[in-house]
Amino acid sequence: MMTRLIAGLLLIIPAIAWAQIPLWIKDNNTAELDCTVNAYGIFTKKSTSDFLLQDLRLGIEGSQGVFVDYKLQFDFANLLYRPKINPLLDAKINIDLPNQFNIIAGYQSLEFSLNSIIGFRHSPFFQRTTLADGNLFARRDMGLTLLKKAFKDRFNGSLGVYGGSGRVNPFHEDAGVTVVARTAVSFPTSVKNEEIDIRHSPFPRVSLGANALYSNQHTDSLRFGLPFLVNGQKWVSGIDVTFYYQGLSLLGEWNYAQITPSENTTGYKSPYHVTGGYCSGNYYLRPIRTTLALRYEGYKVNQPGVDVVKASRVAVDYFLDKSQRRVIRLDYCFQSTYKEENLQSGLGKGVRLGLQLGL
Amino acid sequence: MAQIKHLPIIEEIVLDIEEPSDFCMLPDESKFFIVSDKGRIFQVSSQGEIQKRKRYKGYDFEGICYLRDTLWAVDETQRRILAFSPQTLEILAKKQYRLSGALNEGWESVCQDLSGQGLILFKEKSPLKVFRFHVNWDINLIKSLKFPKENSGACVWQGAYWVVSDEDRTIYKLNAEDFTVLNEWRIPVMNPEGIFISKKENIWILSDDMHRLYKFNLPKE
Repeated sequence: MMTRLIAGLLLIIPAIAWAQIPLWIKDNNTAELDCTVNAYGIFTKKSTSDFLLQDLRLGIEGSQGVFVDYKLQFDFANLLYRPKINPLLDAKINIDLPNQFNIIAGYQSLEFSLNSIIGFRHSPFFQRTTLADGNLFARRDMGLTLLKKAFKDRFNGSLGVYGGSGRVNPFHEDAGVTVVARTAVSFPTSVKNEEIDIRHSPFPRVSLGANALYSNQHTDSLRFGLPFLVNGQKWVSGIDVTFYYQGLSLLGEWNYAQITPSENTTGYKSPYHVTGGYCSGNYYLRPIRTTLALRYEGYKVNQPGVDVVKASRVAVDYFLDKSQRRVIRLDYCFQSTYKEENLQSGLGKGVRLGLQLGL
Repeated sequence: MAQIKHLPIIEEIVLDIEEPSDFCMLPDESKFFIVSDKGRIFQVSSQGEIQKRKRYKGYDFEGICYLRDTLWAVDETQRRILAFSPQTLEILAKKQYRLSGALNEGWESVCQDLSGQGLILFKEKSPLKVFRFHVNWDINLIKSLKFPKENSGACVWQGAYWVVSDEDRTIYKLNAEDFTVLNEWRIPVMNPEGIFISKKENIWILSDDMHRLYKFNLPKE
């Protein structure tokens, strides 16, 4: 009850910060306050309803001079619901080097997995795919990323090295190492990691991406029963494709992982292999500012046919205004290998009806 | 519901410019002046060849127009108005202003006013606002618009303001007195960011994502 009360009170923050608030603008130095919240009620057949904050992000971002951008961001919903996870989301600086190289240093999201890279606020769903939600790899970590764009942003490449233990403790002294490389090309225009074709592309646009990750990391599994985010060695590779045309967007991602746990408590023969991915289709009805979305995801361990994740969901999003930042969202997971009581953690069947407010 | 009118492209010019965000021409219409997001300003021939360029790092140019032998540009993020020499592309003067709203929702476009004595500035959206810039560098708010919801480029032509919306891929003709929509046309251009109407009665549209200038016939209403 107390948690719900606090969650309700916290909703006041984005209501006040209805728009981004510039803190200062002087010469080439800027800073602005950012705030976003995703809040929803959950409903299942067992009548186990609840009210939750998916996230409540508050941060500052800006520029210092002409070469340096910075971002500091926290998710205060973690303090309420996920105390094991650090509330810090970003603490990074982006240095603009000549010839369009960028170095991003600090605590940041990893350039790996299409579904993970797409900003949560730009997704029609209340839930990332299970493996892009921090179950197969740590989505955020302390480290360095080198970014390169070319051919008028139609090519994007990145290479990163990270050393923390993900979102649990970015300052872990003996966490091991994670190395990530990603490349993506798009045609005929650049594609900016979109999930919804808001602009109703007048011609087909496509992108192809490929990425690989190696980690030998000491971390803690954040999800019950999922044998992915474990201490030990991991190789993951993946490919992804996107297509946009006249409001229709299709996205797909496939991953292959070889996992060698340092202490094997999963019951699988080590090393074990995991394959699977997701595909989604979205259509944006521009006259009524509404998106219809459908997504299927499936992952299995390649030992006698073990499906560890299989889920399907639909979503309907209504954009309250032109900013596309204020959305009424209905997300219905109608098929899942997880039971209804796990809906709160994002894995079970059921309906989530709520709002995205903010920036 | 009124039927949507579509304008077909009749010609296109490919540009070797990244993230072009607006453009204009001098009165003789012999060349284009194009600005881009990362502080770049270009002089471009009517065939699309870059003749001159300058970079001002740290600037986010979103709009440009010509008035009184001067090029006027808006820096959206830093809320600056700049005056450039059309001959050298050097900055002649600049001033920073206070404007509330997100950093990426400052002034998005600029064009001459009807009198040819000052400028009209448009804030992009949430909501779209219209400002008047006077030659003494004072700025005042004229109006907040409910429609169109968004704009990414503007120009003035024969007693009306014409704006292009990036998200709607639509050209709007606005009443010069109250900025209400007089007419609108859908265009098959991805990410249109700038609009200019030439004396030969052609509408030119600049596409950011496609790095192209597209030419249309001015529609008969």
